[in-house]
Amino acid sequence: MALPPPLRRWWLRRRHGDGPWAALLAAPPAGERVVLDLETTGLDPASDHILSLAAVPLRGRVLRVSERFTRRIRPERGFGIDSIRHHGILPAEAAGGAPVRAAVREFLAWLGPRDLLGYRLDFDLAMLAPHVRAITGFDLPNRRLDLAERWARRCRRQQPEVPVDQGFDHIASCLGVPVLDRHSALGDAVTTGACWLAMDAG
Amino acid sequence: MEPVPGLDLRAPPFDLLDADGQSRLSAALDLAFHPAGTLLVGAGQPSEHVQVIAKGEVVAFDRDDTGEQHFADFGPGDVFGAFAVITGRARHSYRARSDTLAWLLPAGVFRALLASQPRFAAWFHEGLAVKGALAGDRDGGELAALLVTRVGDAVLAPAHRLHAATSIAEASASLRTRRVDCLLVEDPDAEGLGIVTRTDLLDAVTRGGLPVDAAIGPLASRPLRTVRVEDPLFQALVLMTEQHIERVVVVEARRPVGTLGMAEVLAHYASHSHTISLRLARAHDLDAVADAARDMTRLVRQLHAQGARIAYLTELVSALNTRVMARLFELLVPAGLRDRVALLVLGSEGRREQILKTDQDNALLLADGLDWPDAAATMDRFSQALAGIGYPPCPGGVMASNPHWRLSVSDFVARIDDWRREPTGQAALDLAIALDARVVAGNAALFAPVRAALSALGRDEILLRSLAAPVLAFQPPLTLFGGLRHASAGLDLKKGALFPIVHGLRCLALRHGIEHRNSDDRIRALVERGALSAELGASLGQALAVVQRLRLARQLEAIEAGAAPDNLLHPEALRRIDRELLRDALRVVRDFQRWLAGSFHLAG
Repeated sequence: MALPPPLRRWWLRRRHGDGPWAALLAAPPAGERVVLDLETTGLDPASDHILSLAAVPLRGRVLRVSERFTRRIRPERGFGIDSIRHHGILPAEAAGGAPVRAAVREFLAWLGPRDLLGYRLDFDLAMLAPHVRAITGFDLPNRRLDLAERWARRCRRQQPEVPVDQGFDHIASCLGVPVLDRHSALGDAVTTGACWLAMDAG
Repeated sequence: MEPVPGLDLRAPPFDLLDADGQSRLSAALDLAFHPAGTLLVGAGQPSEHVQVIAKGEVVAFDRDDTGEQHFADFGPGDVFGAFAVITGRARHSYRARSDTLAWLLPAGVFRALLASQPRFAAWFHEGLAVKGALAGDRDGGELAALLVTRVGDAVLAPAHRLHAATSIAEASASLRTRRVDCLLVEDPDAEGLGIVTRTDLLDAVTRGGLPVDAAIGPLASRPLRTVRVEDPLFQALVLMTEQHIERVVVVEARRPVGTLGMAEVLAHYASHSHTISLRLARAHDLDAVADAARDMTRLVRQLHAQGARIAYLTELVSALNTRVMARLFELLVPAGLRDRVALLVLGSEGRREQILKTDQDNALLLADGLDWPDAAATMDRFSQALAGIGYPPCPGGVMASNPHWRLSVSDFVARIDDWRREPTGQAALDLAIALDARVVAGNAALFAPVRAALSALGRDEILLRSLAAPVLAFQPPLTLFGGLRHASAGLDLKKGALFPIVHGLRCLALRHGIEHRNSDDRIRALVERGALSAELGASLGQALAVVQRLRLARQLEAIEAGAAPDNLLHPEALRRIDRELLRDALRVVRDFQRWLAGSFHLAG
């Protein structure tokens, strides 16, 4: 599992290259990323559920919001008032969403081999992992880029002695990016993408 | 499609989209990051997007010999690039001043929204039409015209021709079978075509006592009142209202191609102008005139909302005002006297630049030697009747009910000479409005000597100089950098913008012997004569239209709120595009003032 991504991709292609999910294993298009964000019932991948998923392609200096993929997802069981306070999705609304397996399947087909970008992306991918594995038979092979990590690297480089604040709102405000519609998957994905572009610019 | 995060669809212009339009907008937007210093659109270039700023600052600028001229700033919520998308050519260059996030709306989607969402389109066209014309841009001018239907777009009635020898009975049958209500008459003994209407035939038989086998030749009216197919439909409306006719002939390359009646025009405008006009014609007492005139404000509001050009609006309102006054005059002044007096309107009514019913500004000219003891009482009734209809008395007392403004031809000529010798204070004000005078009722010939005496003043350079001096009295509230200065009490549009333009043009017209009263006509004549550069002339016309439009909007608002209309404008309450247009207009005012100061040797 500790293989570097290109090697892992090569290895997976050997095993699954003729399978239905071969598209995920193709060569990733240069210069294109997909910003991903999930809203969940909580922060424990083992027990919490996905409520919504938003993904926005990023090419050049433009977030291709018009090409976005968004799904509201029906959780498999109820969720508490604390989580409602966080994401603002009511149980009744969630019940109108798609089953999680179908939504992830559509997402994977839409995603293809493109690089993934997110804020604390590991958490989102951990939430997706069991579904991805069940659908494709392997773990998501896409290259991963994390805003929090990039931010931390920059801060440590600039001021090695200062502890790094990796908070989402803090990063956005340092970069002069407005936080758009916080705690909606699409809003956070767009804000994350805008922060990434702001970091690209300097 | 769920809305994009951070774009407020409740803010203009997006609130003008219906649900379908908002959904199409939300589906099409991308978000771009422009690092500080990026050139976003180059002047003269097309743009692939209309942009809405989410965060950051964008500056619009122009480049000339002396470097970059800052034109305007745009901030969050502002839209730019619409003009470049619509016309295919950006008027200014745009650069991100700070790191900027901007929503990108693809040109194709924007155009589709303009095409399918009239309210949204009007928001852009309204500003851009003026904006484009301000830049001397032909595309912009044509865009403005799009808002006004062409004569050729209306359903025309066929122009059927009959020979002058045709009998009334035959002509009448022809009207019926062809389902028209007028015919063109070819008469070898007369010059050009004539026209007979159903009413003409009926009158000839019932009131003129002609037999039905009489020829229609002598009944025809000449010359034909015509509009061209390419004229705005509005022009036909103005012509019919002004000339008091029900039908005009439509010509293409000088050949009649059809006729256009009020009914057809109304089918397009669904407005009340004709009803007002018809009711005025039929009004046999003061109350009836008042009833007919009451709808005018509603008509103006409607046409304004439909995006009619301000020049047409003022023309129409002036035509209706003139009809109201002429009708009152006929009802009040005994028939035997009407030929020996002339009713003059002064000031803006004289210039045909009224946008709503405003203060009475009129005078009565009497033939020399006329003894009319009832003049005072009659003019009192006239003034009261106007007040009753909604034309407030002139606070300065410039009304025929005031003996000072009821005078014989020679007294008027003598007064002009007084004004010439002492053109200060009240005399200067009186002279200024008198320079705009025109006859609306009575014997127009009486005005000729007065007109000549007024024109003669134009040769007196000393008088011209003191007459022109007040144009500098009020400086437009522009900051050092050309921005709009905020005035807490509001900006007086009349003092700060209208007066310098109108009065400057009035003085120039006087100096150059131009008899036109209307400011646009004066501009045209001055430019033709080389007395004003074509560029400044075009800018002045546009500035005047902008100021008039803002003033009208302000006054309609006041009326809606039940307040008395005033001329005070609060720039901070304007939409950004209007604020920009106003700023452009005030710059033109400032340039014109400087130019006038040089031309009339005024101390600036």
